[in-house]
Amino acid sequence: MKDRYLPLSVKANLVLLVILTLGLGIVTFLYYREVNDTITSSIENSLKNQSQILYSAIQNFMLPGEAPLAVQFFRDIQDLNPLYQVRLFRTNGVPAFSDNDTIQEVNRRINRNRFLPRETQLIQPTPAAPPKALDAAKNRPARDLFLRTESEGRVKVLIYKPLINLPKCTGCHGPDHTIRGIAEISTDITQSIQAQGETIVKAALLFGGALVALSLSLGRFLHRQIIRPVREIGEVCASVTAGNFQVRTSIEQKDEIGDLAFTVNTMVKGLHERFELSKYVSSATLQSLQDDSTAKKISATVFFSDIRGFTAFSEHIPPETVVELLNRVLSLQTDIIHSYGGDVDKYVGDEVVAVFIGETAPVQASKAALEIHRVLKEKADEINALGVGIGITTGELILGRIGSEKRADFTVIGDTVNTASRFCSAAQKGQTIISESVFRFLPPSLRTEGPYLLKVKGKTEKQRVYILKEV
Amino acid sequence: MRNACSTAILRILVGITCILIGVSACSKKETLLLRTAEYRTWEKTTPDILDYPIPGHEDKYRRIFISPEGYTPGITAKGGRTYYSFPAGTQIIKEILDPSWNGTDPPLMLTGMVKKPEDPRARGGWLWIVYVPKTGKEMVITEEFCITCHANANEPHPYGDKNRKNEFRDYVFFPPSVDSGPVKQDSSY
Repeated sequence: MKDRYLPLSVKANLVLLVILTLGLGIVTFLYYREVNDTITSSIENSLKNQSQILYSAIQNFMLPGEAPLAVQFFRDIQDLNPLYQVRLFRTNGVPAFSDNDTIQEVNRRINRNRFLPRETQLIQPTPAAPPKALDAAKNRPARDLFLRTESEGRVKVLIYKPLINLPKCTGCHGPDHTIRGIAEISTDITQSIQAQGETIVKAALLFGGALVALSLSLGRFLHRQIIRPVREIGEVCASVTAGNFQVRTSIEQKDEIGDLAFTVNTMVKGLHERFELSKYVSSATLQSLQDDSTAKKISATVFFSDIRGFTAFSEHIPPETVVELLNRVLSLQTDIIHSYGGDVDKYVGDEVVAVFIGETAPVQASKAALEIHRVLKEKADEINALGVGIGITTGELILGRIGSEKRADFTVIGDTVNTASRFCSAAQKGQTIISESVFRFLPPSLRTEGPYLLKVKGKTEKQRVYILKEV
Repeated sequence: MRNACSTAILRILVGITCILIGVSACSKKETLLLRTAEYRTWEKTTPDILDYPIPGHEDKYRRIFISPEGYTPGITAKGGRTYYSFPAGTQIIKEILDPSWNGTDPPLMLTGMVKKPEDPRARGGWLWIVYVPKTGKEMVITEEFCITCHANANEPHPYGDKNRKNEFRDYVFFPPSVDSGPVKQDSSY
C-alpha cells in the first residue's frame, strides 16, 4: 500500500484533534457522572436530614396525640413544592392516617377512649409503600433505603426511613414491635439533572470551539515556522543535487530550523568551494586536508604523460596560443584520466602526473593511456597535431604532504614514481611504456609489444618494459 | 545439577507461598471488641431475666451484664440536671435469649455497648455491637438504630426506675448505681 503524503501540519492537527477530542469526551463523561453522583449524594444527604427532622416532628406531634397536626404538617410541606413529596406508611404498607385503625388500637391499649374516631379521612388512600421499603423496615438493624427512579423522563430520589417504636411510644402503641412505620420523602431532580446536562453541553461546545481555534492557530504556526522553511531547505538541497551551488536559504529564524538553514547554507558554501578547489587540487590533496594525514605508504599505479616536442613548438607561436593549446591537451587528458578512475596529482609544465589506486589500477591506467592517444590523434587538427608519450608503473610509493607550512602539495614520491617518469621520457609521441609489474595485470585483450630492456637514469640494471599497442 | 537447581527454586517458592498464606491468615484474624469470654463473671445491671417485650428485641428475653469499669459511673450535676458518665472501656453486654431458654442454652445473640468515644464509629460515645455466638462474628452498628432507642434512657422512660428525674443516664437504661429494684413488666402497657 502506497503511503499517502500528509503534510506535517495536517498530521500535527490530526494528533491534536484526536487527543483533545478523546480527552474532552472522557473528561465530559467523567465530569457528567461525577456531577450526577454529587447531586444525588447531596440530595440523599439532604433527604436524610429532612427525614430525621420529619421523624422528630412526628414524635413531637404524636406523643401528645396530635395526629391531625402531623397530617397538616405533611400537607403544608407538599404545598411548598409540588416536586417534593412526603408520605407515611404503616409497616403493612397502608398509608398512615387513612383510617381509624390506629386510634382504635391505642384506645384499646390504654383502656379508655381518649381519641375519638375521625368522621373524615385525613389522608386519602394512596398506593401502598413499595415492597423494597417494607423489606428495609424488616431488616435488623433497620436501615434507611435510598432509591433513584427514572420513569417517563422524570428522575426521582427517594428515601424510606423506618420509624422506630421508641420506648416512650410503647405506652400507646405497645412494646411488641420495633418499627412503627415508614416515612417516604421523594424529590424530583429532573430539572437539576437537565440543567447540569445543558451546562456540560455548553462547556463542551465552548471547549470544542477553542479546540478548533487552537488547531487552526497551531496549523498556521507549524506552516510558517516549520513546513515552509523545511520546504525551502529541501528546494536548496535539490538545486545543489542538480549542480547549482549558488542557491542559499533565506531563513533567518532564531531556532532549531534557523540553525538547520544556517548549517545547510554553510554546507552548500563548502561544497561550492570544494567543487571549485577540485579544479586546481588533486583529490588526494583534498582528502589529506580533511584527514589531516601526513604521509603513508601505498600500492598504486603511477601515470606520467608529457607532450612531445612542445618546447620547440612553443618557441614559434604566441604565448596565448601556447597556453590555450597546452590547457586544451591537459584538459583532454584530465577528463580521460578521471573517467578511468584516476586522480590527477599535478601538472608540471606540459606534464601530467596521475595516480590510480585499487586492484584494477594498472588496467585502468593502461586503458586511459590508450584512450588519450586515440583522442589526441582524433583531435589532431584542433591541437596542432600535438601528442604525448606516457610511462606507467605499479608498485609501492609514498603519499604525503610535500612542501613547507606556507605551500605544500599532497603528492606521491618514490622509486615507482621516478621510474614512471623515466619511462615517460623514453616514450615517443603516441607511445606508452609500461613496467613489468603493470604488464602482469593486463588482460589478453590489451595488446603489448616486448619485453624490451630499457636503460633508465638512476637504475644500474636495465628495466623490462612493454609498449602498449592500440586495440 | 540442573535438577538440583530446579528443586531448590521449587522449595523456595513453596516456602514463600506458605509464609504468604500464613501472614494472610494471621492478618484476617479479627480481634473482637466485646469481651465475650468473661462477661458472665461481671455483675448484672438487673438481677433477673428481663422477660417483657420491648421494641428492638420484641418477645426475646434479656440478661444484662456490665464490666467492672462501669460499676461506678461518674455522676455530676449541671444546671440542675444529673449527668452520668461511664468511663472509657466500659462494656455492657446484653444476652438475647429465646423465651423458652432453659438456663444452659447459648444466647441467640449478644448485643453490646463499648464506651469508646474516640472511635469514629461511636454514637453517643458508645460503640453499638452485635455478636452472633454461632458464627463467632461481631458487627459494629453504625446506623442510628440502636442509639435511637437508647436515647430514651436519657429522659423519662417505661423501664426500671423510669428515670422520672430526667437524668442524663449516658444511654444506659439500668445504671448500676440506681436502685431500680426487680424489674417487672409495666402495667401501663
